[in-house]
Amino acid sequence: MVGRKAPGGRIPRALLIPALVGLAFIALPVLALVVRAPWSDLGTVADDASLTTVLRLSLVSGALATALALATGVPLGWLLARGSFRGRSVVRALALVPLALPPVVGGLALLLAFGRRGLLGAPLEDAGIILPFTLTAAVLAQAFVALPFVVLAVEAAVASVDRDLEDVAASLGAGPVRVFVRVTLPLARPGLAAGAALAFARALGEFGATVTFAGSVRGKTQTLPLAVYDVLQRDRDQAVLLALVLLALSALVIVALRGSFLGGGRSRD
Amino acid sequence: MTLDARLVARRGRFRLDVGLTIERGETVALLGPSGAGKTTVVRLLAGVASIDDGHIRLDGTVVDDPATGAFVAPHRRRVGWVPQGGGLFPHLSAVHNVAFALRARGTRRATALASARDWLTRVHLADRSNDSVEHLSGGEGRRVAIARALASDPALLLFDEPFTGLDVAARVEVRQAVRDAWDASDAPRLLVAHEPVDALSMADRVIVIEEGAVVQVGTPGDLCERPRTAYVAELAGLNLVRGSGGTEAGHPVVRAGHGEVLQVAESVEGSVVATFRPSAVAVFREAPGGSPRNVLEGTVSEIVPTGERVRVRIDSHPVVVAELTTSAAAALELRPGDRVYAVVKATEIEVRPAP
Repeated sequence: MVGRKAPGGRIPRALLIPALVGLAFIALPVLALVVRAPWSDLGTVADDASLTTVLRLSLVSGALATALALATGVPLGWLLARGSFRGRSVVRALALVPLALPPVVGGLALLLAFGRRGLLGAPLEDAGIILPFTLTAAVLAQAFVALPFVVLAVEAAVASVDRDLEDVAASLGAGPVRVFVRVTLPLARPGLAAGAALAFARALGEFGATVTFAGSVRGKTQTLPLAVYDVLQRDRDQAVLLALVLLALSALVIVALRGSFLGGGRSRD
Repeated sequence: MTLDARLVARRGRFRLDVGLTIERGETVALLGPSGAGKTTVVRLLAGVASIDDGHIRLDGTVVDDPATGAFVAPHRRRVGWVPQGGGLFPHLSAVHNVAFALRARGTRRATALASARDWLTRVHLADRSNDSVEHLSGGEGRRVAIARALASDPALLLFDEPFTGLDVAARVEVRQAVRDAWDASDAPRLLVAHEPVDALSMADRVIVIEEGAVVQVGTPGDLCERPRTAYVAELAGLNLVRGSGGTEAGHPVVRAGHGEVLQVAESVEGSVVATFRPSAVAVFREAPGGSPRNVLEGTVSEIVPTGERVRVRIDSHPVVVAELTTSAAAALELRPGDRVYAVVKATEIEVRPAP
């Protein structure tokens, strides 16, 4: 739905036309993907063992990256919403860097930090831990780009939680951790879920940082977007079919999101 | 169990400095106009804000004292707090709201839930245990909040305007729940009230604060008979004028702040408070003659019917409230904005030394 007409008013054509153009701009390529897909070859792709591997790699790394982003992004978002400390705006700006940074640059930065001769990578290598071109690197690359979505969503969600409820919980005997887990988090849940879903979607589609830091090693670091690009060099039809799988996953994420904030309001009961 | 506190806190330009003690089993009402600092007092006692100066001693233990750096966190203070509006957790059912207090203090889940049901039974809400608190009425919500505060086995009870925002029927049931709560605990109790009726009818002592400072402490009777500020007088339904006592032309007078002179019956020297009942104020459209009477010219700013009588607020110097019979008010055809003369006989004015 484009929008309901305001009572007694009309949607001005000057707004309606560009809005429809924008919608078509999104819908047409998606439609093209579906229409031009070699559906007759679907069976061969479904049987393909490499697809299973790629899909599994994508889901596993995406889930791990989301978990990592949540584990660090939730406390960070809480800190930005509730903490009163100097340099908070600097912290917020820093947390948003991966959002503005081109992913390839992010991947390069990760390589310089965690690569074999990187800032932290060199001592890690001495300890026998080599990150680049491993699944761990793919997870790190995805978490890097997904983190800001969690931080932003959690900060907004926590800020909207009534502080008086946290204070009352404390007066009832709940320590800070209990207040956070039993009161703040449940009340921030809708925003938290939205942040997690967006982070997962972003991790799933991550390309630039992953290819730079983790490479496109088949069966090891090659996730769906990397596979789509790889296959595209040789066989366009196959690439389209792989892309459809990604499209289906994205659709699932959007359906999951609908409950948390696209539909507006909370999704309890 | 006793509370002994002197609370000094600064919030920008607002400064709070309030001393209070509450004995075991005693109920003290905290009264004051909006913005006087009532909720700040509650938050400081609960420990969700800290004092800048002074001390808070609960049961002989210092829980907040900036001089020594002592501060007991809210979750270790054992304060049963019913905040304004109830402060129920919207994501939990009634029974889980109450059980929260028990779980937080380490009670096992099953025991906590059983005990929470008992507490809800005491406030007559056993049948609503499993309902989401968002489905409870205003009065039911407050009762859950009261049960929850009691369940935490408090050493101090803080009830912040428990009756505000409720309709008459709900007030009655919540008032009963508060009385039952008093009976169930011998902790010191602080009842913050906006409506004087609640404070005067439920408290052993009343502390009145204005602009962050205590202006009067006393029994409800003291307050009604000897109000010290215009706010307290208004609560007690009296007119109050502060000034200095003296004599003019051989007659005792009170000189008010703006240079007005009130003729009074008895001579009291020095700083004084003069009070008179609204029913002792007559209202005229024309300036009346005669003596010895006080005539104050002003504008009618408010007309409030109170059953068989009408209270008329007149913005004269000082402001007076007159209480007229409905027929007298009707005969005068008063409307807000009218210029009128408020008349008070000297013998109707009681003069006392100011505190």
